[in-house]
Amino acid sequence: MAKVIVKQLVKHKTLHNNHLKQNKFTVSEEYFNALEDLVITKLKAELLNKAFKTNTPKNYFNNLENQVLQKVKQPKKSKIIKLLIPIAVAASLLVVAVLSEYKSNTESTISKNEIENWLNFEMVENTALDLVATQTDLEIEATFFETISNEDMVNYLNETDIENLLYEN
Amino acid sequence: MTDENLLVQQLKNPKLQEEAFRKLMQLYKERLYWHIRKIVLSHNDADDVLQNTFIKVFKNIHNFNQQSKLYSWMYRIATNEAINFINKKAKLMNVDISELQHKQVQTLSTDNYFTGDEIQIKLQEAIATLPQKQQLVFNMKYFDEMKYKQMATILETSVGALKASYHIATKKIEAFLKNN
Repeated sequence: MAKVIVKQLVKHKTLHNNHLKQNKFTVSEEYFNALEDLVITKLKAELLNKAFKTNTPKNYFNNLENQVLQKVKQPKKSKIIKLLIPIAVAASLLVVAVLSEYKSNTESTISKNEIENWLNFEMVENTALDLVATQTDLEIEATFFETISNEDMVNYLNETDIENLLYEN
Repeated sequence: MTDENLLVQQLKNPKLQEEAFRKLMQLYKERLYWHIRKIVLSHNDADDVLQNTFIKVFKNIHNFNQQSKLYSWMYRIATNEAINFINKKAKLMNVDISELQHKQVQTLSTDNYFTGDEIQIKLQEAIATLPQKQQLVFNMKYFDEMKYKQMATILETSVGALKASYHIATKKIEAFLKNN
């Protein structure tokens, strides 16, 4: 068929051929039946979309990106702040507690005069035995006694006046 | 009042608009579809363009001043929509229009919605080699057998220029078919 047509073209130098003029594009039968509903639906959707757009505030879409970015950045800061706040409160309470304790301690100090009076009039005999009894936390090195021999101790006592020892202590 | 004038009035009336629009589509959908299809070749593309055409007609009906026939006005909208569609598609694919059309013709042999034989595909290949406006003139005259006067209204070109354009187009196509 094609060769026949080309021969005709060469011979007659014309495109006016019924075969060539046939429309060979096709379409399904249902296509045209559904077209009106499809176009009307599309048109209504466009008009509805336009109506929504006109109800949004001016510059809404222009500012939207910046607003969203600001909100996205904020949670990181607030998280840190949320963690610091209880710590700061606890620290403040601790400081207050310590300060109040210190204050209470300082309020109960005895005056100098009172101490002197007590020492002069109510002091008990401050013997060596009393000192040892009270100073229980004193640690005397064990080696101290080991290095002093008995002979040395006797010599020392003979050489030293006992009454002076009493007065010194 | 003619039927067309009445239809236009109804289209401009918000209360009667939808019904009139459905009637308009019933009257002209097939003619516009085949005109668009010859330009874009693919059924899916033709469907997109046809829908866009009718939507544009609906939105701009208030601007139609009836200086031309309603069908001529719609045909012009369909032509512009089809050409814009092809241009946009070529740009998206980063190819020029002739390359795009050549690729589309290549797919016709496997297209379920094209039943043409080898020579008819060759004819489409030959048409695709023409400049865009010559393609339009050729399709409208050769396949649609449209009068030059009506073509002049649609394409906003003089009858003389259209005749010259068609003559050149046919010569190029004949040469292509003989050489290929």
